[in-house]
Amino acid sequence: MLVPYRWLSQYVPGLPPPDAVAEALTMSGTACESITGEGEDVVFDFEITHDRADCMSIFGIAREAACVFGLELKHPDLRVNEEGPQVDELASVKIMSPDLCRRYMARVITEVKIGPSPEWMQKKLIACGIRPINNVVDITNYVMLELGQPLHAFDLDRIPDGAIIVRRARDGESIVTIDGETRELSEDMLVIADKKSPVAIAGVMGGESTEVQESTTQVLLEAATFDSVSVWRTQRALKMRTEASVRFSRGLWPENARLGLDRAAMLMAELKVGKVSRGTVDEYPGARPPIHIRLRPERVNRLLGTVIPRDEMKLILMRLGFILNERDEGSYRVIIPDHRMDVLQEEDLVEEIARIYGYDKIPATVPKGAPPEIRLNPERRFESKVGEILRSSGLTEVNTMTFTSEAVCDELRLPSEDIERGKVKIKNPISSDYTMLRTTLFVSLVDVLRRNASRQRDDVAVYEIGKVFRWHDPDSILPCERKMIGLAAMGKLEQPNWRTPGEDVDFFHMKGIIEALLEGLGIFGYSFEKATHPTLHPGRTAKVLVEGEDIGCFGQIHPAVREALGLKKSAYLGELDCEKLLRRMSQDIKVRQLPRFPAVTRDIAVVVQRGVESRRVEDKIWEAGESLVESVHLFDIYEGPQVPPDHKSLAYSITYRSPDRTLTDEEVAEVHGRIVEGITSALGASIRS
Amino acid sequence: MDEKAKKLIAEAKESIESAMSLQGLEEVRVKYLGKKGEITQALRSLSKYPQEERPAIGRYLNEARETVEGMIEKRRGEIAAIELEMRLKAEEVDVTLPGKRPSIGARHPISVVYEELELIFGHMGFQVYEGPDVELDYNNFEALNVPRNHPSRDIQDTFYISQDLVLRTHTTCVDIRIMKAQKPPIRAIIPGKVYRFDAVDPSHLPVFHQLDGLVVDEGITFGDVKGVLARFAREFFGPDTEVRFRPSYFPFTEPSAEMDVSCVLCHGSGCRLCKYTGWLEILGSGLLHPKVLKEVGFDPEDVSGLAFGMGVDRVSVLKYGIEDIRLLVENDMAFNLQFIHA
Ligand SMILES: [Zn+2]
Repeated sequence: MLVPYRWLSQYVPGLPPPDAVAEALTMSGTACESITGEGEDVVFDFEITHDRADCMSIFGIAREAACVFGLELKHPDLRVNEEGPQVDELASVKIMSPDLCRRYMARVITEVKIGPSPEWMQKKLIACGIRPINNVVDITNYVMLELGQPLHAFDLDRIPDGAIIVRRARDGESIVTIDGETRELSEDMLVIADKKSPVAIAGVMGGESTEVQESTTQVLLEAATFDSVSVWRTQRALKMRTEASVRFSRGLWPENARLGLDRAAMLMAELKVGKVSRGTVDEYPGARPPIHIRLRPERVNRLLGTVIPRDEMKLILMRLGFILNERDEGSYRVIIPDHRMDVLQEEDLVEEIARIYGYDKIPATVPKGAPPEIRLNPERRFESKVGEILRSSGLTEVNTMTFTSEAVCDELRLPSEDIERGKVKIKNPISSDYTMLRTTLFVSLVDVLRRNASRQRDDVAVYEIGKVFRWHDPDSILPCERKMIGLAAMGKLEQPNWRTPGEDVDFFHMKGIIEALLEGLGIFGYSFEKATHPTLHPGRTAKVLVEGEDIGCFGQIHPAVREALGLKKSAYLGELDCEKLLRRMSQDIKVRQLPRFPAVTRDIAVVVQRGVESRRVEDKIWEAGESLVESVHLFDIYEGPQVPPDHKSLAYSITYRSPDRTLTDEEVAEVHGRIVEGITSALGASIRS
Repeated sequence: MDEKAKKLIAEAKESIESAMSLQGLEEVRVKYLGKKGEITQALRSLSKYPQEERPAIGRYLNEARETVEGMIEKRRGEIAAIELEMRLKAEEVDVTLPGKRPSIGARHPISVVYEELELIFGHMGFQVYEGPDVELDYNNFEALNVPRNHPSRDIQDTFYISQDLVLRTHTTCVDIRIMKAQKPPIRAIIPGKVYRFDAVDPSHLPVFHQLDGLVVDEGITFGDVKGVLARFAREFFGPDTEVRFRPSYFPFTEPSAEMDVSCVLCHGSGCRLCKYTGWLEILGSGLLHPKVLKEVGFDPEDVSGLAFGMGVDRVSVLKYGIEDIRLLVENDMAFNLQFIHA
């Protein structure tokens, strides 16, 4: 909110220079965002916190400044020079919806001569960012800026019988507002109407039909207290934020209607806009007794951690306009002034005392009492470990937004009926790219690949630990949120070097990264199985199993998807479930005795049909070798003229060792023979020598 | 005889010294000391000499053999040293050639900052809690003293999933979950993604990160708010960091305070980053509002609490001098890899 220094100082004689004002108000809760201009002509821009409706005016800020500096506050002149007929003879007001209108006041100005407002007034309006229009409108705007009370001026001659009705709009009613737009109204909106139809949207904007014009001779001035929630909802529904609606939405107090109306009337008379008729129409169905709050100075100090004397507290509150009465037990009964609608309980008074006393004077302390026993959050530990392992495999962490869209899901060929059922849709998306929450990290990771590829960065290896969202259980109120580890790689994993040209990432790189991750987490009972995923290559996709449980999958991006994404190089994606991994993670280490007897290594080349998975051969070796096999290492795969067509040769190096003796050649030969026997009989394999 | 032997030794000495390789030296050894070597032969033919001369000649020849052997051994050492030196010379590398290094990935600045924050608050006894991104309107707003259909909702424009579900606008909603699940003393920090209805621009993201903090116990004071947060600021931004607390408004705290730290760039003298104020707004804080305490079943007369919340993206931007907040979600490898040593 813009506040010219010169205008402000009219209400606070002796106001310190602008810099001091900005600093002091900032430190007492009215933050000065910027200062523009020079010398006495500077204009402050204050950010008024949402609770301080009373500060939404020059006078409101002046009240704060007077209190902060301990200066006297000068009130605006409200002495109205009335003449001519009684207002009752010219206008009447009827409130049909007292729940939405606590007070409605009106005055009438006769013999109006529309013209420009005086230069001093125009200057002030311009300094506050408001364009001067004519004397009547300018006075209403001036008073709104000065006192925070929005006013509206109607051309009284165009309101039949001068009869104002404050009521809810009827469904189907509409109004043309002064900006020329037709607004459709609904039952929950409050309007000002004549006997037939609405002439203004209460607290938001006036109607065109009763707008003050050159020809206007009689003006009805409105100053009302409309319900803040109602005005707020109306301005939202109609998407029209006005200076008035912003102030009404924050809340206004009935007393301010009287101040605003009298101030405007006083100016109308003084600036010779017309004659202010006698008296005021004042419909006030919402009068309430003032609020009072018990204040215990001892509790103030207890909450703040201070030793502020009670007299000082009393002085601060009195300067702020609170009225204090002594009560027994050393407490006060504090009567809350009308304009402090934000003060509702003792804690609010605590803040009032603290902010004027000075937050900077409150000593900084540490919480007393022992902190609760701390348990390391296992999930955060897990995530940090996962990150460590993946980074040492060359993957860089990314951070993506959780939003996606149906279009991206389509690009990834995610099955639409499944997405439709599970998607967590945003009711008010901000753009067509962000219409739902992601169901898989793939959508975010391909975005990372795509963006980097578009910037000539074709070698990318990344991971993210992030949530995916899905409606799962129809009885659950909240969607299911799962944290996943996402992996994506494209291009070279290692920088090409003068020694090695560097290989493009392939299936087995990805698999190796996952194996290293699992073992780094202390998960050894894992296996891989051929799988399918709509986004991935049907022949190059595997699921990851840990002791039989499916914990995720990985594979090459389907060539059709890759093309649709515009990626030049082949890319790989993987996704693993954090919770399932965390459950199986083991950080326990029991050191085994180092081997004491020598190992014997024998190689074996097994020729099997091309479709036989190597794991089956390995399983057989372990099974037949019983406890003497220490390790099985596949060191070569051969397909070519030396094996039958459609066959492959798998060359293993098998290490034998016994924990309690040196193996003899005969023993090794025997177990090796058993293995050969087992493989050939079970897999139809032959042994290549 | 003397003459002959001397000559033999002199000859041997010369051949030994001129041998330039272990192989050549071996040939010399064979020539003199091998089975058919000259000295060996001479020793064998000792019988040709008269009986009385034999001991002297024998002694002499044995001495000669030892001398030659010694010379050969010495020469062998010399040659080995030369050969080693030559080999080392041949093995020399250009140490300025690039190394063949394993590739190592970088962390994202958001998680670097989170880890640091969790460490700092961890040392003060705070424990990490998390909660769902899709949250009940009740936990996100109503229980935090922001009623439904109330103008104060304007402060945080919200993404809705349904009438009753929102994308949480702060992780403060987890405060409600924690306080409903356990009794004081509580010291919690809550990291997580939060959502606000903002279009993507250089200083806004609709999805960003927050760290919220909560302490509930008997006798928690506003001074504690200042103490805890000033300590955080000094540990995070450096020991010379100054802080100031300004009155502010949050529906769920009373009194409320905004904490500013002295500008990380100009250290208070004023610059573009701090809009020439010397201060940077870092977080919101305050004592828990009595309505919030009552909502979770605590009596504001018995316990009090403090709460604070900070934008982790903003803190990262300040810490690392990031000009455009969008860099945090673009994941351009040219950006992310700058955090390799973070
Ligand atoms: Zn600065």
